[in-house]
Amino acid sequence: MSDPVIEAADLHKHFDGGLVRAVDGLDIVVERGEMLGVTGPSGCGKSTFLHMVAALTRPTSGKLLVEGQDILGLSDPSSFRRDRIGLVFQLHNLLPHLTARENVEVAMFGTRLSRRRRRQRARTLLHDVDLSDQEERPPTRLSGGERQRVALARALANEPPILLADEPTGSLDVRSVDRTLDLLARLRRERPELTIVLVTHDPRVAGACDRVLHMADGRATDSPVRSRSTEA
Amino acid sequence: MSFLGLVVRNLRVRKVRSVLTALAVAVGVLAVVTLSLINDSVRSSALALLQTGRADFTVAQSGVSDVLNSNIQQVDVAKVGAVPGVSTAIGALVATVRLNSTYPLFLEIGVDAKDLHPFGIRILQGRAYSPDSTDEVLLGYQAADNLHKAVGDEITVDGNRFTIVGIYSVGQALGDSAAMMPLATLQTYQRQGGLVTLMFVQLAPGADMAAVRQEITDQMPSLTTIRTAAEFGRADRSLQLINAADEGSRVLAIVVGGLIVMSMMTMAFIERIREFGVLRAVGWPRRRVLGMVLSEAGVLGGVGAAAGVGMSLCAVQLLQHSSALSGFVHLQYTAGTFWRAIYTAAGMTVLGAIYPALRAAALAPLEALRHE
Repeated sequence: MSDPVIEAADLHKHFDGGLVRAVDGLDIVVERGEMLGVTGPSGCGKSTFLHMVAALTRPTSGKLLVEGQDILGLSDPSSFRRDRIGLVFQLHNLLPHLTARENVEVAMFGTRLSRRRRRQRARTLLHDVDLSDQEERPPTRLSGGERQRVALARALANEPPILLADEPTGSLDVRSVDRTLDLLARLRRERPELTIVLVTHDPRVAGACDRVLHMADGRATDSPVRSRSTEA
Repeated sequence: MSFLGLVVRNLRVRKVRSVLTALAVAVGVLAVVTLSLINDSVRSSALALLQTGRADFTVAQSGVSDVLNSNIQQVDVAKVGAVPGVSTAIGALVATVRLNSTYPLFLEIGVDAKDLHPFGIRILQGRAYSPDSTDEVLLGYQAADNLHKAVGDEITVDGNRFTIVGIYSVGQALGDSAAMMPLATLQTYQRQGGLVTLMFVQLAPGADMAAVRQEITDQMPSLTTIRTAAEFGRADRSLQLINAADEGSRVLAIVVGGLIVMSMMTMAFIERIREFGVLRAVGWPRRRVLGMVLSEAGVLGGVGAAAGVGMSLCAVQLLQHSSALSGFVHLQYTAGTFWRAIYTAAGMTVLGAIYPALRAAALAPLEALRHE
């Protein structure tokens, strides 16, 4: 039975008064529990699409429903992001003066969790990404792969139904990419309802997705295709 | 990690800037508290002088810039003494002279020998001066301590040599740091024949004070009666100026300190744009970012206020022993002093933090994340 989590119809995002058409008439539906890869050349609108889904930027026109909420009419994007979206950036964007655990805890401020529960949950999440022994270290003392795993733990802190990752493996070595993919696979097994949208240039990452959306000039080049690995 | 823990962590990561910001607040608080303490002390000392001698109220010339510059005809003392309801009216001439380099503001009080007791003088050592003596003085015990003088010693005041015949106390600091001599003697030395500075009035039992005061000012419109600190403030224009300077310095401290805090926090804001972007991206609402920056300013303000009060306590101790104020000003710490410290620090930090805090809250998360 169809359960769309993200529905974009004739979605546009223009900059500089329409001179730059980052997203230019995109149509896509992402089902609950699906892992969608978004690929395409630089500047094709992949990240802009992700940012619109995360309510980090407003669409210029079109329709974008995320978990049934119209992003164009969203009154409180902050609580929407906190409760509905987990975000992982290419450059992890951890706060350098906080420890790994505190970086995860920061995302839980404003929830009903007590300080003790926030701490416990951050520890559990770091354990889940195999960083139990690094939780009191600041990001400056972690490797690139470890930082990305902390960012993943932070993204999952509030148990969001949607995980958005913008080039999560873009700055990682091969071993760290493998480990990140293993983590995502494990995450999907443990939380089958979690919907994941990954922007990537890496064919291996794209190959791990259920479907891949290829974009060019702000549009889908064709209908999203099932990746070979999931077809097999 | 609590919200306050995060706030403190944010401040600790920029130690030098945080210390300098707190120091700016501390210096502002130091200036305001010290000036306020001195102002309060001058006011209370002067008020205490007016309330010397078991007086129910004091009479001075109205409209003078400084109550100590008041000039009252000695004949008016007798007129006031004759007002129904007045038990005694004592005229006193008050003058300030430079005694020496370490005692630049020395108070001389001229009172008739017969009025010493009603005036409230308690002789601690020696005796009172003779009614017609021209070379005898009583020295307040604090002045005696400061000048290392004892009964029988000589003291030269304004070029005139006197013998100290007794040590007295009137129970308040300014009076106890002075010298007293017969009224006529001081009038002669000061070339103020027939004049007194103040009148100290005691009422007869059961007398209506308001009616007596009204009667005095009705009979002698050039005089004013003073009983409370507020009345003294209205009668003494110098005090009004000191109060105005006190208020002005407070506003100036808040504005200057606020600008320094704003400068520091704006620099910190520019360095932290990406951090604010991350927090907004993970779901922090604008109000929490605003609250975080204001809380950081609040912590700095609190630390600065505490440091400023500590520094001002040290400063006033030094001032108290400085030559210019020695024996003249006796500092008193009141709750008001510390309230001033708190609202000065709060004023500086709110003024200084509101602009960077609003800018941090207004940041679009995506642009902030792209900030290099």
